[in-house]
This record gives sequence, C-alpha cells and structure tokens, in this order.
Amino acid sequence: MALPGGAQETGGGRYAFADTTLLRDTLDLHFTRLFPLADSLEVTPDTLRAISVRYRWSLERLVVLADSLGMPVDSVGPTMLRERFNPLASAGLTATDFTYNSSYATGQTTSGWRNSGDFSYRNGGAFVQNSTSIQMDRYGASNGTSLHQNRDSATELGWRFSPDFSLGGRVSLSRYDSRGASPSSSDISETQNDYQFSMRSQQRPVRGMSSTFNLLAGLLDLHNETLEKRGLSGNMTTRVRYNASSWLVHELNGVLDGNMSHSREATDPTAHNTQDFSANVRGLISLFQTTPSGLKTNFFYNHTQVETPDTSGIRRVLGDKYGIDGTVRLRQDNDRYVDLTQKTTYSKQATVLGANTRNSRREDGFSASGRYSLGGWAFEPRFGNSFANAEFPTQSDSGGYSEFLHTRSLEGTLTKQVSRRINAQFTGSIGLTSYRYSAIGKFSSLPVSRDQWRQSWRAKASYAPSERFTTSVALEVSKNSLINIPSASTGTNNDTRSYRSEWSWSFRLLPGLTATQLNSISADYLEYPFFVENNRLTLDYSEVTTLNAIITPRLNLTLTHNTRETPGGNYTLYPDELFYFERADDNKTARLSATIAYTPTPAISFTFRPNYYAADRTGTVNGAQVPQRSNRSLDFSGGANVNVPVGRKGTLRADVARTYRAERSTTYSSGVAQPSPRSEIDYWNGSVQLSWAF
Amino acid sequence: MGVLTPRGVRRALPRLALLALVWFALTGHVLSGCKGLFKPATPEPPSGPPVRLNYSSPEATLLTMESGMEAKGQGLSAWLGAFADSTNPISDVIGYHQVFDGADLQFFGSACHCEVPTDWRFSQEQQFFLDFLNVRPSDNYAAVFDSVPQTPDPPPGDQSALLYRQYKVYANAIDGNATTVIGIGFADLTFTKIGTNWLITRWVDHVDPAIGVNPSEPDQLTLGRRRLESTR
Repeated sequence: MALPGGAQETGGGRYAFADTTLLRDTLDLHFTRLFPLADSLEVTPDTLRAISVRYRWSLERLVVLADSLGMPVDSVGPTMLRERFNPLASAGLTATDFTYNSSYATGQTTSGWRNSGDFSYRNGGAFVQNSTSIQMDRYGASNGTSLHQNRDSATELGWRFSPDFSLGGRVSLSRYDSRGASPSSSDISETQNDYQFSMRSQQRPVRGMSSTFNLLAGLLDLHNETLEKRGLSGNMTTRVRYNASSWLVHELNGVLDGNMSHSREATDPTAHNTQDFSANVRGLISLFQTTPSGLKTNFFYNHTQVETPDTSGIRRVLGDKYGIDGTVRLRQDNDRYVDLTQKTTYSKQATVLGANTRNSRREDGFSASGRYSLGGWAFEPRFGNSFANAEFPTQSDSGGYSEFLHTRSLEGTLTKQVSRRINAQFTGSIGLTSYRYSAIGKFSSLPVSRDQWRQSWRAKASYAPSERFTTSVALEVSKNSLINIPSASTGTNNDTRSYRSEWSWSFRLLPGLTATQLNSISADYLEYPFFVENNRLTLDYSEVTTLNAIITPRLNLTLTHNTRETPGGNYTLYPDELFYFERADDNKTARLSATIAYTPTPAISFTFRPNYYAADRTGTVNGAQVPQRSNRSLDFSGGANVNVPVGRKGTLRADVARTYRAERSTTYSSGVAQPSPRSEIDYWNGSVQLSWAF
Repeated sequence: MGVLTPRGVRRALPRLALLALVWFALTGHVLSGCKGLFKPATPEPPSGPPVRLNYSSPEATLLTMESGMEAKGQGLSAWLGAFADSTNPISDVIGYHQVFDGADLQFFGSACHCEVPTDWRFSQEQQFFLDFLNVRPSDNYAAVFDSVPQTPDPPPGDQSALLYRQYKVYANAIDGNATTVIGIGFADLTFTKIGTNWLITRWVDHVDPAIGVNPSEPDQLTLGRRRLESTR
C-alpha cells in the first residue's frame, strides 16, 4: 500500500489513471478494482462506492449478496433492510427489533425535525410490527414562516401459519398539514386512513423457481381540501424467479394497486363512483449468459388510471408505457465481446385536456458496443441509431404538431499501454440529431426543423515514472453545428470549433504532501455562416493547483488555488476588406480556498473552510480597455462533527457550523467606479441525529 | 542527401503516422469521409432580398430597422447597423447605450434572482436580436415605430436628434391566421450623426402604461424586457 499522500499507482490500459488518490488519502477507504468492477456491473463507479459506504459492505460482499439474491447491486441494500420486517423471514423464534431515529437540522432559512421508529415483535407464529414517522419542516421567508407536517403510522398484526404463509390485519394512518407563510395564504391538510387485510406468501414449486405473492385489501378513507374519497382499496405484489441451471434465468415482478370509491368534490354534495388503478409489470429473460453467445431481454408495462370528480362529472387521466429490449452478446472473454441491442418503447401520456387528447411517443433504436484487446491495444467502439415519433395533438385550439427525431452516434476509444509507465488513449466521436416537425390540424407555430451535428477527437498520453509522480497531456478538437433548415431561421445557424489542451501532474513532494495541478487552454471559434459579422472567438486559460497535506494523522490540510482568464471578441471589417479579431471583453477570476480538518479523536472532528473569490471584467470603449465590473467575496465556514456511541446500541451524530459570507461588487460607468455596499450573511446551521436499535 | 531505404521508411513510419494524426486532428478532417448517416441536411438559403441599408436620417434609420426585423435572420446587419458601435475602429466614436425601465428591471430581477444588467451596449444587442428571433421562430415578424402625438419630437440639431416613438413588434403565423404582439412599449431615441449615418446612441425604454410590466398577454413585453430575458 502506498503511503498517505502518495500518488496513485497506474492501473491497466483500459482504466488508465482512474485517480482515487484523494479518496484514499482523505477517507482512508480502499476500493481496489472499483473501476473494473463497476464496468462489469454496468453501474457508475461513484454509485458503487456510495452504496459500499452507505451500507458499510465491502465491494466483494456486495457482489456476493447481489448474486445470491438475484438482483442488481443497487437493490441489495434496500432489500436487506426491508427483509428485516418480513414476517416470513423469521425462523419462528422470539425476537424483538426496535429502531429509533431522531434528527434535527437547521439551515439559514429552513429547519426540520424528524422522529421515526420501527418496532417488530415475533413470538412463535405471532407477529406485530409498527413503523411511525413524524416530520416537521419550517421554511422562513420575508413574509413569515411556513410549516409542513407529515405524520405516518402503519401497524400490522398477524399470524405466521407456516414458514411460507401468514395472515393479518394492517392499519395505515397518514396526515399532512401545511400552513402558509402569510396570513392570507390558505392552509392545506390531508387525511388518509387504510384498514386492510394482509396476506403474505412465498412458494418454491419446482427446483430453481421461487416466488412471492403478497396481498393487501380493505377500506380507504381519504379527504383533503378539495376531495373526499371513500371505498375499497387493494394492493398486490408478486415476484417470480426461475433459474434453470446456467442457461435460463427468468424473472417477473408485478404490482397492482387500485381503489373503487365514492368520490366527491369538497364543495359538491354529489358523490360519483370512481376507479383508480395502476399496474406495473417488469421482467427479464436471460439465456446462456455464461456461454460464448447469450441473450438478455428486459420488458415492462405500466398503466395508470386516475378518476377525479369535477363540475362536468368525472375527469379521467390515463397513462400508458410499455417497451422491450433485447441484447445479444457474443463473447470470447471479458476483453473480447460484442453487444447488439434492439429496443422499442411506446408511451401515451395524459394532457390537461383529458383522456382523449394524449401525447404519444414511440421510439425504436439499435445500438452496438464491444471491446477487443490484442497485443496491448484495447479498442472499444459504440454505435447507436434510433428513431422516435411523437405527437402533441392539442398544443392549442388550432391543433398541434408531430415530431420526428433521428439520433445516430458513433464513437470509439483506442487505448495502448505503451510501456509500464506510459499509457496512450485516443477517443473519437461523431453524432447527428435531426428534428423534423409537421403540423396537426391548423397549428402554425411549429418548432424549427433542424440538425445538430457534432464531431470530436481527444488524444491523451499519461506518464508515471514513479509512484511519486504522474503526469498527462491531452488535446481535444471538436466541432458542433446548429443547422436550422427553414430559410426564415437560417440566420442563427452557427458552427463552433473548439480546441482544448490540458496538462496535469501530481507529485508527492514529501511523505504526506501531494501537489496536483491541472492547466488548460482552449479556443472556441463561433462562426455564423450567413452573418460573418457576428463571428466570435473566446479564449480560455485556467489553472487549478491543489496541495494536499497530511500534517499529522489527525490534522489534514487541503489548499486549492484556481485562476481563469477568458478574453473574447468579434471580428471587425477593416478598410482593406478583411476581418480582424478584436478583443472586446475579458473576464478574470481567481479563487483561493482551504480546508483544514482536525480529528483529535474518532468521535469528534473540527473543520474550517475559508474561501476568497475575485472576479474582474473589462470591456472596450473607443478602442481602449476599460473596467466594467468587479466582484470580491469572502466565505468562512467552521464547525464540528460528533459521532459517538450511546450505550451499546445507540449512536449520536451531530454537526454544527457557522457560515459567514461577505461580498461587494463595483460597476464602472464612463470609467468611474460605483461601488455597491458590502453585503454580509452570517448564520448557524447544524443537525443532530440519535439512532437507537434494540 | 541520403538514400531512402525500406529500413529508413520503417523507422520513420511511427513519426509520419503521428504527424498525420496530429494534422488530421487539428484540421478536423478525419471523419469528413463519413457521409450519409452523419451528413447533416443542407439548409435553405436565406430568404428574401438583402435589406437595403439606409441610415441617412433618423427616420430612414427606423425604416431600415423595421426592414431588418421583418427579414429576421437576414436582417441582423440592418438592425445592428442602426446602433453606434464604439468598438468600430473606423468611424463610431460614441457607443450605444440602452436605459431600461425601472419597473422592468425590478420585475425581471425579482423573477430571475440573477444579476440584472444595468447597462446595455452594442455587443449585447447582437445577442438580443438572435435570441429574439427564437421567440416565434416559425412566424414572420413585423416592426413599426410610430410617433407619439402627446410628445412631439423636438427640432433636430445638426449632429443629434431626439425622437419619441411607440414601437410594436408583431409575429404573424405563416398561414396568416394568427397575429401576436411580442414587443410593445415606448422609446426615447437619441440619434447622433456619425459620418453620414444617423445612428442610435441612446435608447430609453418605457413600459406602455396600458399594458403594464406584468401584462395579461404574456408575450406583450417591452424590447427592454426582451433584452433582459435574453441574458438568462
């Protein structure tokens, strides 16, 4: 393992210089093989890292649990927490679980206090569980303070007749109250009560197949300021998973939710029969996933219907969405494979005018991606081509319009581990998105049919001569074009050619002291093909330097200095009939910030963050550069964090901080400075959280 | 001069390849051969004849601006040419400034919670005009600058003139069935004679009292407000 503050060692060619040095040095967390694992699991590295930190499970344990449960890695945590309160998950022993959380947080204009408790008791076949939460939030404004309260409680009592079947009753009570900031604002409140019969079951009908089937059904009582709804409600969830050896995995998840009620507006005594309904079904079929050629198919179906009484009777809002995608993977090993994917989706969504005027959209797409490694070279191409047809029939009384969208893209990355210390990466991409519009009815304000085209190249080389020093250079060239097609709109057509180069390095000056710097320069040429007088050039120079010092194991210091200058201007026609670039404006910014963290014991830490920012803008008057505006701001934030155990099963976490900010700006009129008064903000913020588990 | 040998060619190949790669990357020609699927559509040529630029009097300047607005994208030069540009190295010595209506500034500032520009110059006018064309991109535009009977224009001087005008910008649907006012207000326009051209050096914008700063028809904003909106 490298010493604290040491630069990270280089990885393989495909994951060139995925630098997590800062993470390792500041959090003392190690995520070996984070990037290859995230790539394999098809999640982003920061998501995988966040899941690991949140549930305090190692990456290896997360993968094992995901494999065992047969679910994506980001579903493992919520499923494990939910299963703690599943009556069928207990082994018939006497068990009591109780978790209490209380947290209070305050900021400059808001404060919130949340109390929640989860209780579960099991003795033999009997079980009782309750989950209660109370959330109170205050929002300060210039005209007063508004209050919002949520109070929810769900209690279930039942009997587990066998390890696979239980029956019971469930009462769910929910309250919401909101009071506006000003005396004239109206209060809002909503009450919902559900009294339901509950049934939970799980089955293993054949080898390799498992299923769950849960049902809640009962009475609904809902009323708020505008609506009253009373009737029958139900909720059904099911999951079926079939894993036949290694060649077939089939999974189906379904949720049906709905109610049949007498509903009426609060101001209307006439009640109507209404039906609300939603169905969500999704599933997957995997065939031969461990063989050289395999197929994976995902499908889903969503339907919602909400009926609300209004002055004209019953207003029905419908929504539908369904789709399927299939991927064929031809695989030699993890470094040599091709994925071919075809997908289609269709959706119809309600508009404000009701169920008969729904917007619709259908999309069909094909994509291909792959990876091939040979002799130190790795090539990763990606191609996508999709078509979408959408209709918006009721944009106005005269009709609407339809949209045809064609998106295609091609990109590829070529990586070469030139030597043990040198890595080269070359990326290229091209893409074109076409928008075409046609009228429905007599609609006249159509969006402009247009193409958006882009092309870019990026070449990067990295050099790591030792553990102490790494550096890289990169050059990026891109071109983006906006092409309006109708003659009335071509005046705004433009091309932007961008050239950007970067140089970064990281050097461990001393054990515990690392310096990192990123320098970049770029030029953006904005060109209007039909109005060259409007062409513009913007240059950008920036530098970010960071010093990361671990002075003692308990005292860390991070110092960051950032400067940036952005001159820009237009091209002016001179008497020789040629256009010359003339700098018209210039923005300069500088920032100096520091973070000082002192942790005398693991239970408490102190943090101090000063930050200074300066910005100056100059323009050109009569050919001479004159100041236009300048800003200065200074921020201080200092606070303490506490994380102490309370007893054997309790934890107290608290943080308190004071934030101060002062800023002043100066504008110039005819060269004369007009400073504004200094503005200051000074407030305390913090939070306290007490967790207790029996 | 040395002899070109196969071995020499092989040794030079990596450098030549690198040179070619850098040249292709810098010129952006690498994928220019990918026609068809990645070839964008050819835009229609700008419509209509070019706008005749005539700034020989304050009234002529206003007529040229009206023609520029009517020509939309093709009228950019005509519209911008009516404003004095202090960065012009050839002639203009005085720059154009626009003064916003205080109510517009206050309303815009409270709505956007952003830094409100207190001055408006030639370079910002370019951005405004292009942004204003996108308010109704498919419609035809028409602009009128009418004199105000209650405030007659003072006699013009040799080098400057002050005109009080009420302006309106209409967006007409292509099929001719709908007309929407997308710009309305009053302007105190100061013209300065620069060379042979009468150009606007000061535009003091006023909200039309009959419309108000927060109109019931949301499109009926002053051009000053439109300028502010273009900074978002």
